[in-house]
Amino acid sequence: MATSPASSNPTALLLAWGRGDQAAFDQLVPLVHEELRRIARQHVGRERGGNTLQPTALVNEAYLRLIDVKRIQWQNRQHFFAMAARVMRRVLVDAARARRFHKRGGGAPMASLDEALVVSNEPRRDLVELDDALNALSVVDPRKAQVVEMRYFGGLSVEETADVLQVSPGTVMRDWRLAKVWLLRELGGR
Amino acid sequence: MAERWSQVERIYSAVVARPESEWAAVLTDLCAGDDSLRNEVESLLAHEEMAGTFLETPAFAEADVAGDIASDRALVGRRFGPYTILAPLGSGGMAEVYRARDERLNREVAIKVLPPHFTSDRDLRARLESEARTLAALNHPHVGAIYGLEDVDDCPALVLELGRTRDGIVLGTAAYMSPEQARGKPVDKRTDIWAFGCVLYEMLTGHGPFERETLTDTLAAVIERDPEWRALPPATPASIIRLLHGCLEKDPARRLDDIANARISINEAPGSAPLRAERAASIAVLAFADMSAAQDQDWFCDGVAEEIINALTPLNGLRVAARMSAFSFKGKGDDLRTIGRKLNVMTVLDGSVRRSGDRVRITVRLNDVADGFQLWSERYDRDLKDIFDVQDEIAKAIAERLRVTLAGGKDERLVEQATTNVDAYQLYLRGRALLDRRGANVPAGLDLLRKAVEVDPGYSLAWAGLADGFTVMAYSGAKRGLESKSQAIAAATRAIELNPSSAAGHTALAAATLLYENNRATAKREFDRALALNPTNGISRSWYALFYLEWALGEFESGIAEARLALESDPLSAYVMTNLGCCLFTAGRLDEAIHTCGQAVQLDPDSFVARWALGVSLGLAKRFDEAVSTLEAASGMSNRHSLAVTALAGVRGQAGKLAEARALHRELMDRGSRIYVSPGHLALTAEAAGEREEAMAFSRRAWEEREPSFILWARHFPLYRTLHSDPRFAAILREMNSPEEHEERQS
Repeated sequence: MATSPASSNPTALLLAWGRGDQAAFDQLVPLVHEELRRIARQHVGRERGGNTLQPTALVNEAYLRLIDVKRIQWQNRQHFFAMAARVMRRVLVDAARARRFHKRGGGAPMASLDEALVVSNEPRRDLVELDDALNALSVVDPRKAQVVEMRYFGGLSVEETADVLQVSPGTVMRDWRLAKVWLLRELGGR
Repeated sequence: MAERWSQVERIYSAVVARPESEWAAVLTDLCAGDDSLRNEVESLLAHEEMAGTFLETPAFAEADVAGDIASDRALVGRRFGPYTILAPLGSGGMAEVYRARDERLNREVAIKVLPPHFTSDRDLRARLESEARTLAALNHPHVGAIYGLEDVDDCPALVLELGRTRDGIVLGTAAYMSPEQARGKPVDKRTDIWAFGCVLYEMLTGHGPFERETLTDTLAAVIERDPEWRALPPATPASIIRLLHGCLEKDPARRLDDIANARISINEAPGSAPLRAERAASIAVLAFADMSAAQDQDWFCDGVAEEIINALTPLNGLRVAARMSAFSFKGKGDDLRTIGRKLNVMTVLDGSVRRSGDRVRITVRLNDVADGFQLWSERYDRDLKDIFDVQDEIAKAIAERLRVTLAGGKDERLVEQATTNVDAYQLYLRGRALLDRRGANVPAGLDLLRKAVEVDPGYSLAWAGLADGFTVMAYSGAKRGLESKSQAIAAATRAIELNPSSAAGHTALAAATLLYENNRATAKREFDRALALNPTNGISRSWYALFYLEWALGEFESGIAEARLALESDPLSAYVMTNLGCCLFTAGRLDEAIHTCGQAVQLDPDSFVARWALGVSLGLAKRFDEAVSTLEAASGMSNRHSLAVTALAGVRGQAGKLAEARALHRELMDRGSRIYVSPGHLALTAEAAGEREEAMAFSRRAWEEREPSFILWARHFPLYRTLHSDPRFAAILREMNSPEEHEERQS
């Protein structure tokens, strides 16, 4: 990434994005992703099985490590969580896509039984389809897609979502409700 | 197009704001003949019903995010020895498998490695190596061949045959295959138990517990995966769920080992036939954890949780564990399954509250008890002034998750805005919390409740709490009844005026009129109203049982029945259980009383009344030594409350220990020269000390002053019974029971 030291400072990037700078967002995502990976690995190393780490805790930790909280206001923190929702979405959808690829085999031979004995390969196919549907929704109504991303992938509350999008909680609830039926229709009513 | 969409949006929002029965009419109206617009909106409305829970649980709740984030390691394309890694095949908790190419022999293989974060784990490395040896030694038709053990990044990696076909095995049977069978290990009857569990699961859910699309997936699931416990119908009895867990235990050593045990479990299940019958949903709302920096907000946390309980309790089709029972787990660290079993509920809501100035953050989690699965979670960041709105939202979200239909539709308000004044609300919560602790906390609680109604004179619940506070002080003999009588009755009446459907208000008026005025008719009417409004309120019903049926009417058996009913809805409340114990000892069922009061003491070792009632029961059963030590303990924890001293004197008197009884009587008399002591209590200590004349004089005075502690006990409390035969006391009882004693109070 060809950026000056100042602009790769996560706090500065977050503030810039908060002022509406989309490029800052694009630079911030990989930084956050990398930090999340680091934390997740450390954690998984500590705790067998690794699924006791709550994503909110994960994101919180990343936030505290990356961002100079003294320079940041509450709203910026919400922005950070909104962006982490984007990262979460990528991670989860990519993971689901990888499993799906395996599942369909891509012409590859069936996996051996021994492999099957230790491997779980339940696909999270609906996550991939949801991701596609969400992309379609963002064409029709970008804000509703954002609401879904923040709420479903980021675990943000209605209020937090409203803060980031600078709309009222009531609007978020209306968006959320309509987005859900829209997505269900798109997904074929499952 | 954007314009069209906003049109759709507007109409959709307008339609769903109305009851479903009106949708068609509203659509016709708003679409004004534009059929394509109408079709568009209708196609969205068609999914409205499904949308309830859709996406409500965040994605990460169902995924191992940490694992997903951590495990995308770049092995693909790398070469180890003769093997080039081509693509990932899959990953489990303890292994990753890649498709690889053996460049020397020109064939594809599978390579299994430890996940990156486990590569330094010695146990796992050893396990992988031993698996390699086992596989090499095996010749099993279902297990593929092993080619070798390689080092990948300084870590062992299994190289396995890839692409075996499904020879010799039928998918249907694989689904019932036990893990040891799937591994090619020896089997015994425990494999049959496993298969039985599979069949039972299938009967309940319509599909096998490990059914997957392919054989490999099925076998993997058999060995690695837990059955989808959530797929079981909500009505599945706990005994059947336990049985399934016992049968489908992966480790045969821990599995149920006798099919006879299974039969017992099934026979124990309520109604074996309607296993799938729908049972009403049930929930326990636990006390919320206090996450505030100073850790001094537990009264507030309790208040939030209680408000949610109150909101959910009246809903049809939802059984809600009563507050005192649900809160009895506070700080004990029981797991959800234990809590669910003890409270007999299918779901548990827990949460935390963090307060910082006027900001409140509430987090809640709704958990399925059967498998610990998190059904829903949410976090709310709000201003303190919006606290009732948050509580209402939480209650509604729960109702939606548990598919409970709200009578008034989605707009029905479940949590009343009890006060618009945040200060009053906080004063009320703190006051009530102190009141609930009884004993020496009551006066401080009363002060706060007084302030609450000063700040918001329109606050019905606070008035009801205030009335209860006065009544409790008076009937426990801590304050002269005449001092608080008019205030208590006025407060209870005010509570009802402000909110005629307040169960708390009617309960408060029932207790106040019964105990201050000896007004049984009004008490009966008010108790009836309170119980009709909230049938599961343990306090209302157990006061009705003990104070009214048992001690005012002497209807011992119906009192016991009502007290048992109260306990059913609030099974872990030490207070409600104590009141049942009191009903039992009043009816002379002393063994049961001792057992019940003993349980109450176990439930809450800090409860003064539980210990007091146990001591009284033991004394009545003539187990004097135990009675004395129990009552001494009660007296020690209450700064020698006159209730405890009175009971102690009673036991001493019954045991013929006159000197001790006299000393106790003197103790209360001395106290009475300095501060108020109930003449009703002094009558009992005098009687125990053999001073009948004094006992009669105090009884008469207590009655003349309409002392609530006397009205509570004179008719049927066992320690008063030796006085009943005295003509002077009989005269008092006649006056108490005369119909002219009072007229029914209008309210």
